[in-house]
Amino acid sequence: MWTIFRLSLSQMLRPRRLLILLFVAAVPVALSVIAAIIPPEGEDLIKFREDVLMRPLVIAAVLPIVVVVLSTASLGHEIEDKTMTYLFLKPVPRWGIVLPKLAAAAIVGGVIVIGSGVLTTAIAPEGSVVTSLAAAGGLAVGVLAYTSIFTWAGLMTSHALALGLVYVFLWEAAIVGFLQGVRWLSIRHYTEATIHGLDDVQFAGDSAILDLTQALAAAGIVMVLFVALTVRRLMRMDVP
Amino acid sequence: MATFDQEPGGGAVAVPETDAVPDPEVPNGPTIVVRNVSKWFGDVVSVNDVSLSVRPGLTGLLGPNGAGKTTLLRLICGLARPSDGEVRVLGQPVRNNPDLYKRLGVMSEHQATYDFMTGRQFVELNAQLQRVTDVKTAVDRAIERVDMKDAEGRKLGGYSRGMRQRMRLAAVMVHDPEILLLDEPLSGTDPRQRIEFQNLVVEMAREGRTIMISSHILEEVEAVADRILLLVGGKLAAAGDYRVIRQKLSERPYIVRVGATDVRALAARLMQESSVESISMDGEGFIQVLSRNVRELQMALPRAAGEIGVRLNRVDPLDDSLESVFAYLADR
Repeated sequence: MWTIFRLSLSQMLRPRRLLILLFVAAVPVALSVIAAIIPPEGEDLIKFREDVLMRPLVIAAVLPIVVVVLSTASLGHEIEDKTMTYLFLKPVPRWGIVLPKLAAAAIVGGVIVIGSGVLTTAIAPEGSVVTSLAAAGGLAVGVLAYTSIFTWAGLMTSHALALGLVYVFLWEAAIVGFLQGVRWLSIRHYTEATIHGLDDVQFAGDSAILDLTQALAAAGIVMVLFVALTVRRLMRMDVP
Repeated sequence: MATFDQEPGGGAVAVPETDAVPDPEVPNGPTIVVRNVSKWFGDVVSVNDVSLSVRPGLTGLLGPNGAGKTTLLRLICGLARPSDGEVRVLGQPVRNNPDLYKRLGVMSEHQATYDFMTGRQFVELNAQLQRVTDVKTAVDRAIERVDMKDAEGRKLGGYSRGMRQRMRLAAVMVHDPEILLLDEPLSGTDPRQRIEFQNLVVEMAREGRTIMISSHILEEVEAVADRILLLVGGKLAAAGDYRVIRQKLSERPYIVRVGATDVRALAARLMQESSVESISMDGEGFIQVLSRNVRELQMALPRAAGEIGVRLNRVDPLDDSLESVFAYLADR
């Protein structure tokens, strides 16, 4: 598993894609620097940090974009590049291929996304360690859940990236925004509920309908379910 | 020596001895058994009710492009799941049996590699995934065996096709497998590399391994394989000793179109040759010569033309495509 993990890391740390993702992650950090130097006048700074920087930029944009790009590629590119045979035709159990791939995507994505979230909350006006730690915890939950879903999607379709962006920007941004009940099916909502559960003073969340325990349980179910589906898919599919 | 068994129901031309029961504990028992295997993709049947078994040695899998060779090899190594039938390798089912890959090496038709790696890193990766105990020794041995020591430090992305094929072969055999499945391994290699490769696989087969090589070029396979499987349209069309198949090919009628300064005189003279079965005019000023002994015809043509003072200006085989050869054998 360690060999596949190292291979996956070296595939993900290719400079061009990484630079683009780092640029995306740097946008809220840069805005928080500007806000720290020139604080917005007449605004509740805690609310500004949540409503302008964290929720729309870090949680709704940086988190899904970075993780969807990395996780759809982790197994998807092996299929697309026809290199999957080098892993498949080895005495490695199928979960031994899936888990290190997933771990590599989650770690690289996690460093970028959590780094972005922690820096944004720490640099922005009225920043606090508690808020930064809460952001780190919530974003970690989001990274793991998105990674498990879109690693599976990368095996299912060559259009996983497009599918991921539709999920993020149509389902989570539009539909879930209007229909409160389907928030049970929104990773973004698990993320917000976790941050709110860890720091309910400085992070109100989007009128969270899930508490911390429910959010962690729902995210855990998503992770286990999609890891199992990914292993099952790898066992049943014809490898190109 | 390698042997091939055609199992009942295959409908192929040559049917040597049958031994359908795989027993890897018995020396020279069949190591690969394919039983009534079909594979279809929607309405397209790629492999159609193929049954065979293969013993240690070198077996060539021949067929024109689109015959189903790659699909059959993919079914044998477990990359694809049969729509029907059963594949067993070394007595075990191959699908979802990863431990079997310790004893199996597969070189797929794709040229894809991890291009950001050096050749050596690529072979090392394969050795580590195969859980080889002494990785360095195994990698050194495999790379030396394919004569790529000088280029091992270069990135795979910068290799020629032939170099890439050789490094892929090193990666496939780094764990010293008992069975090697090689899909079009000579593609992209130059004549010198081809000979070296052929010598290498012959040597490995002599060590007791089962080696299956696919190709659409008969000469490529018959140079090394004791046994040949001919696949046409997803079905096993012929199987057995390559000499028998070669004999059938030599019995096949050839049509050659000949242009000359006086085709009528040439036609009259050629009719005296035993290698010529019939001659017809084609309306464009050429004659079409039908022969069942093309080698003899090759010698008779210039001799006959010389004797009557006619100059040959064109000699074209009309149906010498590989597809026509396979189609002929499939119809037998």
